[in-house]
Amino acid sequence: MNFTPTEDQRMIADSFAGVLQNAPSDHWAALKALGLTQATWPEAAGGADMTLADMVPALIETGRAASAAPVIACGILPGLAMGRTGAHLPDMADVQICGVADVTGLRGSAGGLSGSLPVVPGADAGDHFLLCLPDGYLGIFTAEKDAVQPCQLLDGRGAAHVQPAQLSKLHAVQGGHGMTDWLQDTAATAFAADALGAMFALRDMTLDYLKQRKQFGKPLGAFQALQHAMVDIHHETEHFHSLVLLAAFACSGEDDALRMRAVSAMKRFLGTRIRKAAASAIQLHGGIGMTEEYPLGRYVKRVLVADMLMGSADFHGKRLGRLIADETRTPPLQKETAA
Amino acid sequence: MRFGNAAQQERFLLGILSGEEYWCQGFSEPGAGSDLAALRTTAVRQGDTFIVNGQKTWTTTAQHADYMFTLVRTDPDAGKPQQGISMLLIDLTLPGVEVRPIRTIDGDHHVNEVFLDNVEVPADLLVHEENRGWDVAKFLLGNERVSIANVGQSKAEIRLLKQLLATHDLLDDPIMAMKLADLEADFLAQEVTNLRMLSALAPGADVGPLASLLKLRGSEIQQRIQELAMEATGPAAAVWADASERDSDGYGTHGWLFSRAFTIFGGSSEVMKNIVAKQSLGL
Repeated sequence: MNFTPTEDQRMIADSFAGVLQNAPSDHWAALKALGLTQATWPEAAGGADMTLADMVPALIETGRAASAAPVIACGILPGLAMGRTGAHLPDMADVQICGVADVTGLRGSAGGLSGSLPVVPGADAGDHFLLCLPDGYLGIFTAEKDAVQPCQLLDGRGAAHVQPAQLSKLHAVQGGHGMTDWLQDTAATAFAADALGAMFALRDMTLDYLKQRKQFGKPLGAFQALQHAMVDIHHETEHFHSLVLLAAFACSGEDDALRMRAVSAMKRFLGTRIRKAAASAIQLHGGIGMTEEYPLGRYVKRVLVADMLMGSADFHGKRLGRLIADETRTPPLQKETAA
Repeated sequence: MRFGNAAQQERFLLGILSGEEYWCQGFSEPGAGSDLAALRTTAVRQGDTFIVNGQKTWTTTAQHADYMFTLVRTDPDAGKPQQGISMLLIDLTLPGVEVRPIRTIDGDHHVNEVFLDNVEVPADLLVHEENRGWDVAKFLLGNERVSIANVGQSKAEIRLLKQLLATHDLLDDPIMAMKLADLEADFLAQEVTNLRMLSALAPGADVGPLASLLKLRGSEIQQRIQELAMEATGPAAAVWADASERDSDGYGTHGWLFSRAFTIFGGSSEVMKNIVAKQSLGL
């Protein structure tokens, strides 16, 4: 695994950063115009075959810019999912595919789909849905008018509640065993990479504030209690960075056990230590950190969205605990001999 | 290797590598702990020798050591406390050296006091330049902190801990499983951060404030390993065992007791945070 971005990864990230800093309002249209939303699609479908690990530096930029564009749901995940199946798609050049939902509420039967899919990120933005069904099939669906109830996420990004019964299937391909888990982990990691960018911005802002703001006749950063709190934010952000890199590397590979371990460790860390670090940044700012006008809150909310979606910290803590228990009962060496 | 002269390297490196000559570190003093630069052991030059007087403490494994690399004050009138310090290599069999054990709360003998009473140290055992010993100390402390972060040992101990939890039928206990999951998450983050930060350094480069970050989490992880081992052991964890009677190297309650030292020695966690605040964050 690489700790520093390759030249290609850096180039894409720089293009993202350029658009996000310079495009006046509609980030999504500007990214699309440059073909940046196609990066993860297979080359045969006009993409650049980028993996999730390749896209981490770009996602850091979307988080740092706190962009409302549906980059993850519409620009990253559909391409990764289709690429993983290896299947060819019908020509859908102009169609925006979006959405990865928590499919736990989803039921499939001969008559169609039932259940409900709450809070599907980006589902307000697309006209087609990519759903990974519990049996591992990936289906592309069109939505009837009432199927989609848009809502807004905490950080201003869009989402929708989706009624699967009102979706009509256009096309389906076999994604294979474990596809739903893989997609969920991949989505969790994409949101976490974006949250990492938000943490970088939050860390820089808080450090600047400690250097500039004066109370009791000296900068806040001269007080040791505040210095130590700032070191903790810096420290947790660095460790989170490491876990995001590990999870993205694992989601881009074939080792399921490593992937689940890395993603659950990352999500657990996000929901415990990173949530606390984001809260501490508000504390260090004092009252100004509580105002809607000051940009700090945007980054905190960005972190909370990544924390709440794609499995809670408790869900991932339990999954990690189970993985460790199973592995301890069956050490890898014995598994190999048994096989 | 970094600061010693050719003659010193020839004399000592092979013995260190083979383990035939064992060393200890003479840094801390009764009045110089976190504030190491306050050290008062003196070395006065008389011709070809330094006359050393003073007291070192918390000297780990001095009872087994042949030599002690020692920080001494050679210029008491230097402006800042960090100036006027030198490093001497002291043969612990010399007249005037006395090593006395300190028993720690786990009942074991890890550390010592070392008394230096008119010890005559040959001047050619001065490392680096006279009065520039602080450069050497800072370099060594950085490396010491990375070694205290001890990722490899933690990995091995976490494996042992999982076996211990299995033995006590605790792998499926929801609370213990969650504590173990948190430990695993923190350890994975520490392991990758170690690789990420150290691989970004040029070979032989000074690790600087990175070492402080790595030591902070590494020492905390090692304490938590001991803590979970203690909790898993049940009532047996309340039983005192002398060092000689323990079946493993102080794992469990005795390990918990000794592990309190991890966030103190090699620079306390609070000093580590001061260093990161100043050197990495510019506060």
